[in-house]
Amino acid sequence: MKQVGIISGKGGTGKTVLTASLATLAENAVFADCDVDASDLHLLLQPKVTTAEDFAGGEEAVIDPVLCTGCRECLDVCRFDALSMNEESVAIVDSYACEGCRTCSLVCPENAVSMQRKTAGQWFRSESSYGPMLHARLIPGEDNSGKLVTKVKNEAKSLAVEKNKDWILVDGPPGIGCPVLSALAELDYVIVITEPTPSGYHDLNRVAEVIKQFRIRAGVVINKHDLNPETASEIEALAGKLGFDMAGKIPFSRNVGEAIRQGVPYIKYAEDEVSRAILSVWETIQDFLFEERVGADTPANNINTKEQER
Amino acid sequence: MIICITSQEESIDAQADPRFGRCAYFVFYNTETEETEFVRNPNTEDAGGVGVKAGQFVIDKGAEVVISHKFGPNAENVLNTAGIEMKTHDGGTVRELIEAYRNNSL
Amino acid sequence: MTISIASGKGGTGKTTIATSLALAVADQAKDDKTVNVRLIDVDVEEPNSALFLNPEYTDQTDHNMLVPRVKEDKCTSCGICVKTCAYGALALLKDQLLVFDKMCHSCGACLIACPEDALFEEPRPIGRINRGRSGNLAFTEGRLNTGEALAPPIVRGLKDEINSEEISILDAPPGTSCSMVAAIRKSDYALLVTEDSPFGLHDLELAVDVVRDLEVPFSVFINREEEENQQVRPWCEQRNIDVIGALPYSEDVARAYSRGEPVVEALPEYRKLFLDVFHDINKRIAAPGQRGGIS
Repeated sequence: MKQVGIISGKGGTGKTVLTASLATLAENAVFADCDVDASDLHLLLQPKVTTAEDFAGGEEAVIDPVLCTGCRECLDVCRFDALSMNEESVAIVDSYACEGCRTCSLVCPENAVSMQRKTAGQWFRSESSYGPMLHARLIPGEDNSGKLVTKVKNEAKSLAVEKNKDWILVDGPPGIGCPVLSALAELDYVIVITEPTPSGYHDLNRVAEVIKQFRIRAGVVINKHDLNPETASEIEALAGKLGFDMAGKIPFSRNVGEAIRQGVPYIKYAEDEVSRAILSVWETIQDFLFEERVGADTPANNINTKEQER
Repeated sequence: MIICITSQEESIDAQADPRFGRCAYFVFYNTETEETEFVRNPNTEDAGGVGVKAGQFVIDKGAEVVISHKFGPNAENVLNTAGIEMKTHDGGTVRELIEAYRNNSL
Repeated sequence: MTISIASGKGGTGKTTIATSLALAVADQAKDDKTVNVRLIDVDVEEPNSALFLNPEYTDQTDHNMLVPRVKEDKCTSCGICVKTCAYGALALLKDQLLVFDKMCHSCGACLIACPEDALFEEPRPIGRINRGRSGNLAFTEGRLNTGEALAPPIVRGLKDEINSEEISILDAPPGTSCSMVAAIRKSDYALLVTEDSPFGLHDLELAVDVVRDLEVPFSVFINREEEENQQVRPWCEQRNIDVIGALPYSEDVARAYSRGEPVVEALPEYRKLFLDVFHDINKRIAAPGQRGGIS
């Protein structure tokens, strides 16, 4: 079983559009939408949710207004600006700002502070016409997106093991912070999709530093490459310098927007240069993964995998 | 000597839990007395730092060897610093892993 | 006055709108010495405003987080600090206290809990704050070091630099994560940028929930608005959410963006559109409590 992730340093580079199309191409696969802050994959794969479960987050301080004497000691120690006094001189907690550090509960002379666990979001197991999908929704402002990403990935992995799946496709979050680190863990291959813009170039560089820490083989896809051929070739050169594969170039087309509006993966929407480019990405990365497999020291496993595929 | 195995359930024949920091149970097995103790992992629901907390937990329990599928960087750091040996595996029951450890086949 | 430019997802044109708005306002106010306009790039994971503004940097500072250190002679290895830490950033091995810097949220709980006064704090750099100017526009940005997991501390550091006398336009992080919340919290106004697509709409819905919860007044700016089959405008109308500006879908804008040129500089005909948006926001801020704003 191979885990392939699709990430982008910045948002809006076509990551979900690519992932949805790859989902239709990957046979016997599980999909994990790890873009838990702004998950959009379900808008294209249109899965039916079969189970939904709450996801516990960190703690937050809760102040008992009866016990609070308004001494303000908690306000003095809170470094997250999460406490303030209401009109009745009772301390109140801003749930968005509280990071659950317990400092206020340590200093409160009246023991008016208790720590209570928050619900950070929900995760879902769903069925799409292309295979099972795991996804989640984080309650806005919750800082546990890395943990939720791990949850979605682990659930995807157990399902893949249980159902003998060949692929896990991971739609990763944008950025370079904690959720991305969680999404990258355990991947066999990561596709970085970018655009030929200064931001695209810049963010590829930043995300590359993170990928290197995980020593994962990576390939770059340049979306809308024909909008700025000059920057596109600069990105291609950068990919080479970073030791990344060139996994493909997708031309610009206004049809992509139309496919999104209709809620279908592009490859099911049209047969044109864009869909051929996406198909080529999928074939290319399989070549890279297979090449790596031949090089690896477990030839017996390769034969098994091949047989299972038949 | 005490060895620790992460387990999905409270049984010697349960499947090992591949996670270290967020495992369901820690199993402490005493190689001299052949006694096992199951302890529910108190930190599974915590938002962060579970690797370190789990490391601290098994250190406090006096384990000298820890057996799990995978250790995160922070857990690895704590266990390394404490001089605790880490052994990894690719699945099996708690009983099988104890046997494997005793036969030096991990 | 602080205006946050935010969006429920990345790639909607948030930076395009923020930079053009800031440049247009700074240019209009250039002869008024009492008004200083500053763009603050708070998207510390992917700070891209500078790519469009090409600022001249005047100074750079490390942004530090305080992390605990132990006074070996005072520590009795009681382990109270380890039990206190909510983030698992401390571990005690026999008589050695380990601090995991990257997990520390710098809350200070361990110092308060320590009965021996055996802990002190030391600054640790997690990113940089850069300051400079781009023509008439003052500029500040934060950059999180790669490999660091926690963005909110540097977001808060940037927000501490906000001067309420200035007009601050914040380029906020995308999504509805903790760093986005940290960025727009306590802003006078939020402008939610969305693209005219089902993705844009889905993520706008999440962003609207956040700004409502934070009680920040807001309205919507539609980027790449379509002529037909519009998604966002009808949705906003149904919910009484005001759309106070829109850039039509245009290949000229897309090309300017891909060359790293701010829209108002590459295509000056759009300047008025951004100034109108600013004056509209200004009126909306001034109206309820008569506070802030330039006339």
